[in-house]
Amino acid sequence: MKSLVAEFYKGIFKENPILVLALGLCPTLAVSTSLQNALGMGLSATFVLICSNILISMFKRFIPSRVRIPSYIVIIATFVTIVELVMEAYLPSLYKQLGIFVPLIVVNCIILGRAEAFASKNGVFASFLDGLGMGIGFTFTLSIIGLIREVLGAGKIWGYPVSLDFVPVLVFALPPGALLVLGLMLAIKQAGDKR
Amino acid sequence: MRRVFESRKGELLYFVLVLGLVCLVSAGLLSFVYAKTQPLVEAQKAKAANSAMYYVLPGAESFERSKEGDFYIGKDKQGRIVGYTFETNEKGYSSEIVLMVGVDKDGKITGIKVLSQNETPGLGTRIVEVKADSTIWDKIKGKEGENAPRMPWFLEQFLGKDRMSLVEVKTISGATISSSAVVRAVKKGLEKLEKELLQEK
Amino acid sequence: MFVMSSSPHIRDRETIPTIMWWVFISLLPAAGVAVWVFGIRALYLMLSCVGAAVATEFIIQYLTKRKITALDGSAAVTGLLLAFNVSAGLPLWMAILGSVFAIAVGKQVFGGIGRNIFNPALVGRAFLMASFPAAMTRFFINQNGALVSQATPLNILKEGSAAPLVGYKTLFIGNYPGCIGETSVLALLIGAMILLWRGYISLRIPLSYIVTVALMTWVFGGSNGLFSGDWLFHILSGGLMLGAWFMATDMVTSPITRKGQIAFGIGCGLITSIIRLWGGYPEGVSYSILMMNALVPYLDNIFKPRKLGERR
Repeated sequence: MKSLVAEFYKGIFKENPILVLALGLCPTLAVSTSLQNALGMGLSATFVLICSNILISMFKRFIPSRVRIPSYIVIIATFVTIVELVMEAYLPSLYKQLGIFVPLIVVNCIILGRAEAFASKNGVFASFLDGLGMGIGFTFTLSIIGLIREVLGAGKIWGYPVSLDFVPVLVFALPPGALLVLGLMLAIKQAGDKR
Repeated sequence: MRRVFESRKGELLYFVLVLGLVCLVSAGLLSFVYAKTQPLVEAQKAKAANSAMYYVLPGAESFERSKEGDFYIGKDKQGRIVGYTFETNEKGYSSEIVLMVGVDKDGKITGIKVLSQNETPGLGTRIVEVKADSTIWDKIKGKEGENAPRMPWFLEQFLGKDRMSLVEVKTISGATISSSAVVRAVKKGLEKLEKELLQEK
Repeated sequence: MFVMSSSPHIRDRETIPTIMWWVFISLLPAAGVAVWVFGIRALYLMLSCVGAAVATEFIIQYLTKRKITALDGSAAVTGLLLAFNVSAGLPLWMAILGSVFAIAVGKQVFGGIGRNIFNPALVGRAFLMASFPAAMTRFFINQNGALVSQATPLNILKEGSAAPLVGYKTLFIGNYPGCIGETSVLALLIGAMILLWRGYISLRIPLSYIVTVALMTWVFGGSNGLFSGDWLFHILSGGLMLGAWFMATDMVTSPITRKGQIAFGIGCGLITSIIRLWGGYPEGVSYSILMMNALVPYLDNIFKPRKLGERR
């Protein structure tokens, strides 16, 4: 029981996918322009991660190791396409914002990485917890970056202005701003770990 | 059965079987979700395109395509012509700016909306910048300003202008290329509309 | 008492503070012209940039428990160069933010003086350009003590008006809108003389840079076909003189080999001309130097002197 709890917790801090494993950096840098986008991307990836983890751990016995990668990719792609279709139907504005990065969840290294490193070797429930923890860790970190960039780069939180006469530091809304904020967060995490 | 799969050929067969099965299930699942969501997606798209037309030509109840198909004729409940809407575009600084414009029968602009643009954030995007009147703190406290979706202040200048008075529109300093592209696009569209209306008569 | 190290043991009386404070002095003529042309606002900008740069260096060195060298003049030079690179109307807090960024991210993140890849002042300028494009590209001229917004000569050229409105003499003296430290070719050349006399810079980078720009703009810059460009206008306007003499020649971020330096200058010149003639911006000096900064290790490697007997 204790180990199951640990499987859940590790993804949030100790093995945080972005800050420690440094996986999934492409969507992290590209769609963290606002809290809304970051949360949308994080939750979509979490959904795919949990579903693919469960399915892969269920069928791991039947999938021969030599064709496992194509099988995993098809499974992951299926869930991504479901997310994409549902989002286009019910959240069209978020779908328009995230654009190409929704289909690109297929090649998000976190998902294939967890399938390879965890789900293909562990039970269904443990894989579910692993996916949930990793997903939360990913969503949480992405949202913090999104929040910082939205406040500094656009002067807004969740689309609402922070102040009527705030002059935004535009660089944070642009790609270099993503690298700056991520780099700073990595540095802070490293400094914290060394203590 | 097991022995078949252990031979070399059999192994290959097993791979094909597994992959085929995975793909089959995936395809089935996707076609189910697609069938469920597609009507909604279509409805969303139609609504988005229509709402722009209703937005730029207030008072119109129905729209009819022109003969050439380049513009739409807006009619009120009684079927009288209220005005016209058309799409127009022009190259801005870093992207194609696509606009929807509505004009009344006298050729005066009744509404304008940017349908798509990808200009430089902070400079060119000021063509769609909306002046905010309430902050997130007001929102949390429940104190809201006028909450009607406001028009970008740059586009507001176009209202009531016709082809001749379009020159009075002031471009944005620091975003001259993008804002003058909008003016050019509107002018181009108005000229085309006038020409085609003459032809139809 | 006895330090053992392998040869060679070359010692020089020149220390970092002497070099850096001489560079600072060489910038003062241009600073004076800036105050004369743009008024007291230019002085405030320079003071806040220099102050912010030195303070940032001190705070970071204190917090990371490194040796405190904030007063060695290098931070002051960075701050002053950054101030030279902004418009007279830039709000002071923006200038200070740029200065903090230049020192913190452009220099200290890499490990401090001597370890930075990019010229810190230009890192600060690039940050400001990306962050506040509207404020950074609005230029002013001083009319009876008030700042009046006006386009720079290069801007006028970019937007396709006919003959540039200012003459060569004005461009040489510096009484026209632009970044506060870049307008006066005369003052910058006086400063460059000081650096040459002290032996801190050689002619290789500045000359190859300026000559390349002159050639490129002469050949391709004209509206009446090839070889009709106004090259003199191009080399006298914008930030070319400031960039070529004071920023491309930064000891830390330019090549050490002679051939490498010439290649560096030519590269800067090519990129500057390409941006000016065909790019989206009217001016390309700062980006061209930043791009060439990134290539410095490769240039030094290509032009590394051969050891005696080593095969090519």
